[in-house]
Amino acid sequence: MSFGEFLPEFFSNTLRLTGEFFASLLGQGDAAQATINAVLGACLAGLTCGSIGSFITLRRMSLFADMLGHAVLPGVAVGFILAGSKSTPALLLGSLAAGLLAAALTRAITSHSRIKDDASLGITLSLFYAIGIWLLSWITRASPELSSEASGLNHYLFGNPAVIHTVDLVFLASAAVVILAVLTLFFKELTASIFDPSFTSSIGLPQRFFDGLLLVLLTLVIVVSLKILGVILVAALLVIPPATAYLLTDKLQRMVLLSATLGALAGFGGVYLDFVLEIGVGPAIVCLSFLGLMAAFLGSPRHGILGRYLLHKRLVLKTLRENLLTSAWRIGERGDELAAIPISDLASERGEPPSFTRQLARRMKGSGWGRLEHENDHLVLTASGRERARALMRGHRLWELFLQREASLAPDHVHAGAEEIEHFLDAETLRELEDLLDNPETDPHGKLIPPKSLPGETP
Amino acid sequence: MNGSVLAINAADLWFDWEIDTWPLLMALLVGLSCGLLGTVFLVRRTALLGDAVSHSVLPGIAGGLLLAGYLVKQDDGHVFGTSTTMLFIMGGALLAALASTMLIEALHRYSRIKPDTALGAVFPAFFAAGVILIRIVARNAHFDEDCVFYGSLEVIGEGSQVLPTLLCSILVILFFLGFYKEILITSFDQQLSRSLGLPTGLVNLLLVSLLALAVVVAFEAVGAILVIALLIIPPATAQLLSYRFDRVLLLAAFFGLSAALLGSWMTILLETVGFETARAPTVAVVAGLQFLLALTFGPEQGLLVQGLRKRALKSRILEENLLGAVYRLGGNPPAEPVLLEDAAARLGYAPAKLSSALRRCISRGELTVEEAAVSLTPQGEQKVAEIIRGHRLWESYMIHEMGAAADHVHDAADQIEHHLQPGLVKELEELLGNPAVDPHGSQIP
Amino acid sequence: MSAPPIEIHDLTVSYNQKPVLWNIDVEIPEGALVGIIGPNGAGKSTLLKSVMGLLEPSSGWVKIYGDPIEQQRATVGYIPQREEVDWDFPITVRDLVLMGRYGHLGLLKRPRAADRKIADEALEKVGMTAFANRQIANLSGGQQQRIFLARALAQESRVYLMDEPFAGVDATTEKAIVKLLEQMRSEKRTLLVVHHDLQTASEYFDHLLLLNRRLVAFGPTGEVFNEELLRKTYGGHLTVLSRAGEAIRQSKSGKK
Repeated sequence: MSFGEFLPEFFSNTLRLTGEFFASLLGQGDAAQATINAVLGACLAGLTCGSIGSFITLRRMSLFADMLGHAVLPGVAVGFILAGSKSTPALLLGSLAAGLLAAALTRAITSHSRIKDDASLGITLSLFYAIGIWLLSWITRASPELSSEASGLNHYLFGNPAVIHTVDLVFLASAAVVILAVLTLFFKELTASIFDPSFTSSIGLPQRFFDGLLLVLLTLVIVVSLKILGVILVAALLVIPPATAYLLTDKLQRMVLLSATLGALAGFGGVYLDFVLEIGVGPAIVCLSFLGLMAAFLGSPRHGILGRYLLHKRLVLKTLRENLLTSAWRIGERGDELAAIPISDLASERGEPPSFTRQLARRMKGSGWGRLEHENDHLVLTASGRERARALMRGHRLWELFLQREASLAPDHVHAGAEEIEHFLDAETLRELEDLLDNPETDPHGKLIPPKSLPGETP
Repeated sequence: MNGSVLAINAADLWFDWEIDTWPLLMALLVGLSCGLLGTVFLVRRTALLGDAVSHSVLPGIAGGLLLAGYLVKQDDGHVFGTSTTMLFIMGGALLAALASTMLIEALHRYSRIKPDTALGAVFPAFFAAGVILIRIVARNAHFDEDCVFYGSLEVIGEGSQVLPTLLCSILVILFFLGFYKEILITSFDQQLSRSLGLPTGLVNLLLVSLLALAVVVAFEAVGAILVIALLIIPPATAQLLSYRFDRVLLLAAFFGLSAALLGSWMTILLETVGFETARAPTVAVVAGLQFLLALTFGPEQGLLVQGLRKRALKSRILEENLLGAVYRLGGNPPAEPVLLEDAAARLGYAPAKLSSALRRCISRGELTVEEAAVSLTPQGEQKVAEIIRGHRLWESYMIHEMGAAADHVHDAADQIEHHLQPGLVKELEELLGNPAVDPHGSQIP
Repeated sequence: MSAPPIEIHDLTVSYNQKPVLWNIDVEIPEGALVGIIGPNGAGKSTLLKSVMGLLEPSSGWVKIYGDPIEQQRATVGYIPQREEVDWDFPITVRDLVLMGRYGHLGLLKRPRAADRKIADEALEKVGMTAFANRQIANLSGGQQQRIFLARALAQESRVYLMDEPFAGVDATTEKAIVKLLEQMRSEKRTLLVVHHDLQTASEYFDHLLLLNRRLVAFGPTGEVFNEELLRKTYGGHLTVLSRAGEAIRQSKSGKK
């Protein structure tokens, strides 16, 4: 099949399957019910993982969550062997026990040997996971009755919402209710215990209780979400949506809500993608949430790369414009007119070709400080441009004086430092500089320091 | 099943070399190279990087397979069939490993996401992408999904399948022989390494690349996740047993090899008794058992030794307290015998608790007992004098040098008297000018 | 005149956009034993790390005998603060000291007998020969500091930068270090030592560099160790620097 034939067919298939997917959400019958169960299950798992994950990532327990995710596997296997069937409660109890045991082993290793936290997480993770796989490998090869019953235990590795039954949904929903209730009830205590554990104990809150609470909730979430995501990927849903939310908001409440929403959305999207493309629900959910994280990493207005880049560009432009202002000021200082400055003068002051200076001057547009006039041959400063130039020069020369006095710098060394800082001095720092230097009138080079405000203009 | 147990044949208990040679060699090579590489990441406190890399090579492997499927059009039924395909897989895995480590780095360097969260977010995402790619591959080519989890040591049937692993192990060994000192210094102190002008970045890059390589060649044998067990556990076991980097390396390699050997053997034994398991997870479980054994029985840091040491200290303190009580109650020489009950009452114990301490003191010839009364032998007197001397010197030191009040120093001195070494006592003597009486006016022996 | 061992030119160093060292401009003369003193957070370690090229300056430069540090690595030995390494690392005292030789060896080369001899002599000089086979965690703070010094000695550099070698050491070690510093000075080596004890500073060093985010003064101890300059170092008008630094950080990270 050539690519040219493949694409149209792919699109028409996708469109048809999308229609079927949404139809089955409203439809009836076994197949429709399975889809509805899968969607409900995935959304619930996303919701709970996302909400508690915010606390987990902030408490720096991301990798611990990953360890727990892998480590519940032997519990699934043992639960199955003991119950002799895939009875959901048995598997849940087994994995809960395995998770708590793994947490205890991790702690025991760090406290009784010189093995560090991360290594001990790695040891527990791989040991428990290996035991789990070992037992599973036995189960699948064991007596016919056990291994035929066992088909489907593999779902706990990657997860498979297609086999979500009502009983699984009941467990998921009750876990979600418990977890959301606890998070709401203890919101402020958990916040304090995550942010500053020693402060929390100092005000008499039981820090160890909250740590334990978080551990139990975490294990619970992992256990009920296993069938959707599987042991390897479950931690991803505990880490990625919270990390995304963390890049988008600075408030914990909003972070929890946002991350729960993102988790639920990823759950829905994952089931849809699997329905259409058959790529597996768990991996689809994780990939979707990761795309979200990447989008936030690049595009978040405050904490994203793009936002920072734009900010940097703005700063560079501002610095360029301001440097042009100070050059203009220096020229005006020598003459007496700061109205229209010939580009050629500016260029020779700055030691660059006039064409280059004209380019720069053109970028004054939009600043409200000045514009090119007289056939693009003169830079004309506005009142606010003159005011800004004055403030910059004043800051520059005060800073030079400050460096000379305070930082034992020779007069010929102070210019470079002042050149950078002049763009950042705010009113308060300036006032302090003035006080410190006793409102001087000339700078180290003997140049006049511009007054606090221009004569005849508002102070 | 009982019948088969009875019918065990001696040959079933040992390797069948016709079938087992290549799988065993494969397991040994994987154990060796993972043990060596894992040690470096363990002592660098980046043990979980191995975890991350082993998860994140999956999309590279799948991508390589996919690409090779389009370009090479060969399929001989194995996961890593022809060498051309192998090259694609290696390249893909290497790219994926480097991309994931760079992404982890970028996430926490260029945003406020913390390093652990970045790690925890990136590698499951890569793994998930790998799983999706593998599903796509599996539609086109033979690919056993289970191999991702269980590994498939037992189906390795010819030497050519072991060849990449052999080459990788040789590379790893050569790297350690050639760059030993650079590996050591970059692991211990990156700042020093950079300040000496050593190629720190290059060594780091080579290490991650080799790790990716080792994970890929181990992939078919032990699966994507079990390889973590071999990367972390044997090195951790070694670290429990030695304090020297070179020995930790050798021990880690040894434990990797022994886990491979014993694990393979154990699978055979278990199978004979009707407990059939996959070979790769058995190897990992054996590695775990080795760790737990070292944690419990290690000669210096083992839990057992720590416990025994604590117990020995406790009983020594009890014995010394007993001697001290007998000395103090007996008054200055000629010392009178002291009732055991009185000594126990002075120490605040039930007399029964002192009986074993008493027995040990007697057997060492420090105490003699007549009826219910105990008295010090000259040897015991000598010992107790030293202890009390330390006690009273310490009290004097606390008062003269640290300005403590006379009635506050006794308890502290009670604690410290059991731990004063001869050198420290001598230093105290010099500092205090060999005093004759302690702050309470008692004589210093 | 030949180039000075260390020339720092208008150096400004920032952490997270915020300048922590401002316009440091100083030349250290050959053979000087320089104490860097200043309060906590004055940027003393930052200054050393910038000289070593471990931190990227936001402006200015450092030269060692007229060359950038990259070309003069073998000339400069650096002793970081003790807390900066993992003392649980599986390595013996002798192997740690031997690391000092690694800069002189090429890639793929192993330490030779001569290197081992130099390392053993360095251990001897700091009086730690008896501990050569110990694991480094089983040492006291003073002993750890001494083996760090031994490692630096094994580097056989002409210039040494030491970050708080006297922090948390016992009296014996302190005496040993002072003796060693004086011996190194008599061998015409240049030493830059971060120190926090004012009482001993004038006694141990022949030059002092008074630092508090900017260079307050540099010169022979007799000239700069006076009340006025010390007050300027430890008290004074730093709010301007903090405010200006904060203003830069805020505009650069878009908080304003």
